[in-house]
Amino acid sequence: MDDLEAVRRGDPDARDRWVATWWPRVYRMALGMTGREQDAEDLAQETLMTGLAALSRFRGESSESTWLYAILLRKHLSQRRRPSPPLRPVPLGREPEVDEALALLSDLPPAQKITATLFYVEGLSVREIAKSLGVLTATVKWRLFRVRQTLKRRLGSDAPRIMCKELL
Amino acid sequence: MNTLDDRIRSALLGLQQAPVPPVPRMRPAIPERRAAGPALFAAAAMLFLLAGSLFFMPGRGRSPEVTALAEHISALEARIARIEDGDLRVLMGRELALLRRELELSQRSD
Repeated sequence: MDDLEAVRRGDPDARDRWVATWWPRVYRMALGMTGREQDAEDLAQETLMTGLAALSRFRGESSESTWLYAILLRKHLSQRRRPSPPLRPVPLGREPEVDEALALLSDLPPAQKITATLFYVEGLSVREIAKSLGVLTATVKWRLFRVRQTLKRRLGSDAPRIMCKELL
Repeated sequence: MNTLDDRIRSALLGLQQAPVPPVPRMRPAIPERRAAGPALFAAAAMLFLLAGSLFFMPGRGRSPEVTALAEHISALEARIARIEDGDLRVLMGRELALLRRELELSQRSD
């Protein structure tokens, strides 16, 4: 918390440490949302810049992570309303696991995408996600239900096996 | 459902293996001073023209020139009020107030 106070006071070293702490998580979350490295970098930077500027208003009523994810989602949704730039080539050499994760997320609408990422990747509870996104817990549960339905189909041939296992 | 959750979690956790670019250097945004723009230069030019007109204007009653100048000053006041740069707006407003005062004094001296 002291470090947070130092960031609020404008200490440049504390600010750099704060950005370095959050950068990987916010970047990966942004990558999950956008699916493209360059866009993710832009979105993560914008999110952290906004976070830095608004840190004086952060009262600690939620965790920093949920507060930052809320900023990320707002930024992402506002970016989607702008005309999208032409597709840029995806850099080669990405791990297949990353591709698989991004492919799974690509079919989900933004709200379900961030809900799925917060739940499955960040390990947040339904209540924490609801607080972060400013929605009812019932909404989060509904979104997760829809995510499961969509991803069950996307996970393909293994889905029936899962069903059989569940029946046994 | 847990099995499906586990499978989704396992698939999405691949995201954690995505390489992360270097941390960018971030500095608090300093509000850029907006460019003055053509409107500002036009206003400044009009101000100088007005000053010149006042200087050369013969001091005679409330002539049509005086009326026209007063209208010009009013129009300029409206344009200056729209200047976004606060310092510049105050500065030009003061200059214009001086010109108006000069015009009033020239009227009285007649």
